[in-house]
Amino acid sequence: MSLVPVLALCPSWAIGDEPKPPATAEEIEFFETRIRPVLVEHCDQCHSGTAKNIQGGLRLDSKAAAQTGGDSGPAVVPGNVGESLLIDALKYDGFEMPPKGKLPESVIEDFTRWIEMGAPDPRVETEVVETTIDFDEAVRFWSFQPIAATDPPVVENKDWPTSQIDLFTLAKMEQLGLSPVDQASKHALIRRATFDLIGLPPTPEEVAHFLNDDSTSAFETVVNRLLESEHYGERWGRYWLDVARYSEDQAHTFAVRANTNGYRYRDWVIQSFNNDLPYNDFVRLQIAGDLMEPSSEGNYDHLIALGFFGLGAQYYKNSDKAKAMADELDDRVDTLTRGFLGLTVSCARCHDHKFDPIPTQDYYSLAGIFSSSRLHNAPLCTQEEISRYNEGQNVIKQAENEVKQFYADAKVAVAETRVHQIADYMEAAWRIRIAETAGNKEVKKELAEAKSLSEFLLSRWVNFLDPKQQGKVAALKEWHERTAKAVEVNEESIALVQLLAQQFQDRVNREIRIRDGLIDPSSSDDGPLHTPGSPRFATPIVTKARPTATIRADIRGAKELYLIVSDGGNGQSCDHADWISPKLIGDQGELKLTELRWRKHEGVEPKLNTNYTGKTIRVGGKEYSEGIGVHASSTLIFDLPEGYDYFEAVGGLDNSGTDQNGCGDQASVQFYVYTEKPVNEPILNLVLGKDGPLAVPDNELEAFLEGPEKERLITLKDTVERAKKAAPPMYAIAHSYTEGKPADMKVFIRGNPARQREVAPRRFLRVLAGEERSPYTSGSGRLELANAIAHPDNPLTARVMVNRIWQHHFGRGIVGTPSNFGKLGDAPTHPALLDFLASKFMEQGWSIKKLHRDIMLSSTYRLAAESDSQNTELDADNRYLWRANRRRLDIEAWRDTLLDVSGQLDRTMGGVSTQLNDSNNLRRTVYAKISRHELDSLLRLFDFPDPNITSATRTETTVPQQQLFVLNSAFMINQSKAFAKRLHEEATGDDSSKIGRAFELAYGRSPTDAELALGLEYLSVEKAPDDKLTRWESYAQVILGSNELIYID
Amino acid sequence: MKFIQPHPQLNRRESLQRMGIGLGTLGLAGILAQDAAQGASPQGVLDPKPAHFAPRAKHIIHLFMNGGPSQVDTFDPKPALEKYNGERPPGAELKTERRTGGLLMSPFKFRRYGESGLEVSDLFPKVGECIDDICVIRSMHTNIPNHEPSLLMMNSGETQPTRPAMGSWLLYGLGTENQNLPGFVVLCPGKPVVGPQLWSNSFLPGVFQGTHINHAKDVDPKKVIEHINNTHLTKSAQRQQLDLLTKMNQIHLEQRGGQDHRLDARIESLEMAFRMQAEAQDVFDLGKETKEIREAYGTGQFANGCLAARRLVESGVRMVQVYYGNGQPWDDHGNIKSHADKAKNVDQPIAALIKDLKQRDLLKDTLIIWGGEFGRTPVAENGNGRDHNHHGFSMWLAGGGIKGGMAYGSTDEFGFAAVENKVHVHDLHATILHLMGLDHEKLTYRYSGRDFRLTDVHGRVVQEVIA
Repeated sequence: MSLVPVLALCPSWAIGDEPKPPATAEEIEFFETRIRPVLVEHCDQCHSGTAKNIQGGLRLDSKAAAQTGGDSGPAVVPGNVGESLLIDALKYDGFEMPPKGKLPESVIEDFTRWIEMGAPDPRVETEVVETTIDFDEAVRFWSFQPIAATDPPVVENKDWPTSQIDLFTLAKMEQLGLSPVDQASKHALIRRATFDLIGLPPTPEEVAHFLNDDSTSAFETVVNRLLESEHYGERWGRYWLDVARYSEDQAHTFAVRANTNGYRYRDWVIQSFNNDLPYNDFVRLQIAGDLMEPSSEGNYDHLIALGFFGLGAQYYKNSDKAKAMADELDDRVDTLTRGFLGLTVSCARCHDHKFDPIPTQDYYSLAGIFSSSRLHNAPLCTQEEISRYNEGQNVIKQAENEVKQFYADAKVAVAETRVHQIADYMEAAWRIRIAETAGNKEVKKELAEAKSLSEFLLSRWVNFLDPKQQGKVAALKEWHERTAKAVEVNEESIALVQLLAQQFQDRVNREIRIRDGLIDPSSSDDGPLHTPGSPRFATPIVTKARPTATIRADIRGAKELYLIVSDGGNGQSCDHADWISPKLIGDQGELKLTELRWRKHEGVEPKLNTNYTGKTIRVGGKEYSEGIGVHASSTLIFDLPEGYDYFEAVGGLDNSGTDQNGCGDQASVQFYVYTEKPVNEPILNLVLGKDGPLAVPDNELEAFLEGPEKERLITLKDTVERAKKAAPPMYAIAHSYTEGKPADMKVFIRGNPARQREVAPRRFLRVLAGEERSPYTSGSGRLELANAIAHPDNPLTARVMVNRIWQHHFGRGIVGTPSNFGKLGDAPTHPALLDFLASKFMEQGWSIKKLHRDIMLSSTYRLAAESDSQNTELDADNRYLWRANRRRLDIEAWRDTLLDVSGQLDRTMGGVSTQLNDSNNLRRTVYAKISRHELDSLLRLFDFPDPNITSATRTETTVPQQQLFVLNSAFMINQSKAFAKRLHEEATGDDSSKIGRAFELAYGRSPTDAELALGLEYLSVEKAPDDKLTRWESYAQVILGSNELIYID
Repeated sequence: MKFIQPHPQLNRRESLQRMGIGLGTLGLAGILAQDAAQGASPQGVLDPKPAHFAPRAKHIIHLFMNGGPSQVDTFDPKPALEKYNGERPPGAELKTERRTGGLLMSPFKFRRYGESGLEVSDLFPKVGECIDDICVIRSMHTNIPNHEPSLLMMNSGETQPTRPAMGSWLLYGLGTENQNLPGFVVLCPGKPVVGPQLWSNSFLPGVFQGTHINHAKDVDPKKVIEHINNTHLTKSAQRQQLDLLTKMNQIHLEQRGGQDHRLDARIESLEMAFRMQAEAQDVFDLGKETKEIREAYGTGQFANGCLAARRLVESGVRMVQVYYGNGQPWDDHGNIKSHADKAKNVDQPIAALIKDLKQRDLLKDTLIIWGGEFGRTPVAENGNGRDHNHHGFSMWLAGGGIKGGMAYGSTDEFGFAAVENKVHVHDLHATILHLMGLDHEKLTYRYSGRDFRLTDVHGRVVQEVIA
């Protein structure tokens, strides 16, 4: 486009206007005396460089800042009072400034005058400072310091430590005057270790084996066995899924596509833990697996791993799409940085991070990497398999289209073959009404048989002619009026009904013949002349399968032409229609209607010689250069010149509608030619149309077909079925992530996508990579990002993961806020230990299993859960690990344990997610469907985190609703019954032996005498007749519902 | 209020006392909140907590007309619509979600009610009779003319599903009076659009989530709360069973030195669950109301919802939301006259609720909120319908500390956009929290390195509507 029209839009004074002359001395004086003092007194506190927190992103302490404005727009627009938000604010219009009270009118007038005079402002431009973070100072914070592997400290008590970890913990204890309690009993230890590593209780046999193993390596044997269990990944993978805010859908309602293949990511996480995939690879695959080589040919794990982002939040984008997209980027940045780095980078979305050294620009540097990437359903197969699948689908579609076309043709044909029966139908319908009024409901079948009518269509006729419909169909006016009195079946009334029915049938026949151009309306033999207001011509319904209809209408004597396109009875979606080559024909020759402009139109603006979208007319794949493109419903009105007798055209359903996904296949229209304003709906439409009394619905059509027609349909349908069987099934996909168009983002001022500042090059965080860090150049930059995060010199990645593992062994991390290693996070209780573990973790090839082993074989891990009053006085929180923390099982481990103890647990691994609200679901809880839209009520009840956001730690609440589940839920009742049954099967002796077995299975120990006595006493009571549980079953429920089952020492 | 991650096996208050650290160092409120956060005892986490200042209301009943009722057909009369019917004069050209046509005059007549003489349309004659207890805010506005974002905004102050609901914030800040009932109840026949995220605790602990009760069929006391009904043991047998469980838990506790607050807490919590079975079922049993009361409220889902809400509030529940219906019933794009069917179902029960609360002297402690997620356009869509409108709409408040018989703020000549004394949803939230005795800038929760608020960085307490 040339510049001219743009300039033309500018007000004339803007062109060639001289730059505004500098402010005069008087103007400066005005500013200094009337404006500046007010700004200083009333505004600077919140809107200047000296403000503690600049409000609304607005500064008023320089000319540039005031004119740039804040979040809402420019505060001062020289010469334009209306646009200057400052004036609105002073007037308390939209904003109310200053908040303490409106300033006097005289002051507001001063400001108004000042802006009118061009807002003269002598204040020196102050550079808008991008960031005030002192990075030299910031990197001294502990978590940004390099990981330093220091030697373990020296301790006094040389006997207690059994591992280097113990030296760190004991040194702290000694320093604080704490002393470790005793080591846990072997019984407690094997339960703790088993729940810790696999989330299930040890079997009685495993307990016995360990108790009888007196070797020094007995516990190591247990730990090694558990680390090799495939259930290990189910336990520890789930912890990671909390961080990854794993779920299989989205929170909102509209336009949500469920991520039904999400489970593949869950299974990959579980397998990665089981295979002890090095953590640095685990990190890199989840960020940039698509840009890495597969581990072997035909292995697609690198694509599945990207579920970390591929299953991320997708927000509703119907309105304010820019914000929704920015919010999605925020989900990626937040989950990435908190998950892998323990940094809350999202806090820097609107302003520099208030506590940590993360400038806003850094946020957009990372966001830019994600805006350069996109969600992708990645096929987990070769290109050949995809082609084979697509081919199969094409074959099916073709076969289905043939069936559709057959239906379309057959329906009209069937309807029209029954026009000669209209009179019979009408008479029968009348007889039925009379019979039914008299209470005789059985006549329909009989009447239908007598005249070979369809019972189905007869029912439609009864409704069509229902007196309640009177007035709806003008052509039935006489029928309704005259048959109203014919309430008895007698010779006279029969004759009347037959006459009226025959007249209606003749009328329909005549309309068909007009439509088909078979009637010469001037011939008296063919009935009365054209009735004003009824169509001169109507096409059958035009569909994708039959996209054209020939039109020829007799228009003799007419003054106007009405060309009407209706929606064919099924709504207007995708109904793009064309009047192709429309022309008038007369003795003097032809006149193209495209040369005769319409006088008026109704509906969407018609297009001349193009289709409705402005592109070449294309119908059934064929292009036409002449015609009028419209969108149903449409009316074109022409004034007819003298001397033309016929109108001819082809009505077409344009490909621009039928090629659309969704509605294209269902598009249908009907073309009508009138020569006066239409008075009512065309009879043909009513009778032969989709819901008319001669129309057969698809599912009934077969009953109307006979002989070869019927056989052809069967063959066509059979072809569809065979195509479906022959087609290869849908290949597997993963909800993955891939490269988009690489581009840097600009910083959004205060997070507002509509207001942008400087470019934020795609690159890593300054505090970790230094000021001179280089921008990412390879595609989106994800692979470079992944390598930067997984780099051994990154001070955070190893520390953060080691701390997460530690947390799940001890109930609290060395850093109490595992996803926040910033200033507002907790400081580490044992910083040297954290560094020792982190560096060892990397030395040992980022092996998580080795880390478990190191931790679990320490004396610290093996402490008893008992209390000690002296220690309690000094460290009641047990931050310094002088004892073990008693821990409540999370919902997954608790539910799995209930199933395991009752003997019901189905240990099948992996696959499509299951429904937890099915009380017969016996799978491990990690395989349950996790929904953002509606989290399962059991999960929510027991503190499962909201999967809309990443989660580091589960809160633990104890509320009565949880105990209602224990007392009354179908799940608990099922387990109680199963457990009682199991006890009877496995312990054949007396009640004492069964109680013993119950304790062994549930608690891994024998009952005490008191516990045994309690049980026997309870079981000795007869159940009441109304109780649906036996005493044994309700006893089993007590064992399962007890504290000992859910709290682990 | 700072909120610390839970930590096992400690009672911070006790341990601090034993350690000789005065409560002054941390501040009592902080410690209470921390105890509560740990869920250390059932009496802790949801226990009533002191407000920031003297509250004007203790309970909230939010009557949610989901789908978005039209302001110009209910509480914001606009004679100019009649004058310009069918036209689209300047000022009526704002953009909403869909294509709209000319101005559409209201098919409903407005008349004056009460001493205040406020105008209410014929859709709400019975509510009109209560107008002197009601403050209509005619200058509401929100961000987006779409149901999902606006429902989320009205409930959580953010258009994405990433923030806790207002009811969750209230439980977090104030606890609830009756420990045998959920503190935040959401009644809806079916489910509103968006669904559970509207009453989600989000990053707050799960105990603060709303309890959704689908009363599509009826308010069935046996089904309203999950697992509330014991179907398999007689009451005395369940008592015996619970006694055994308690004894075994006591032995377990003694074997561990007898001092573990969390083990104690679960023992108590089991007892509470046992009592809750009876009490909760009792509250939801509408059959216990007199014939007069039942008749005053009338019949139907919404009437039942209102009556249940009153019984809940009376029993100490902090916040009750009553949604009009499944999906988004007030969304009349096609024909605004359809508002009449819905208004007919709510007018009588709402008026009955106000009168009933007043007569029980509960209205002064109960804040009633009426409204949708946004309003509707004064211009027509599809001939006789109206599109979504976020530029301006009406809501009303009654009871708990509200000035009755007044209208606050106004929309433009046509009722399209709020122009005078505009009240954003954030401002409404700030005002509601204020009425409940909470400073919206101080009710914070530390999560992901930030102190989050219901009102984010916005919100102005609309003092003018407070009595």
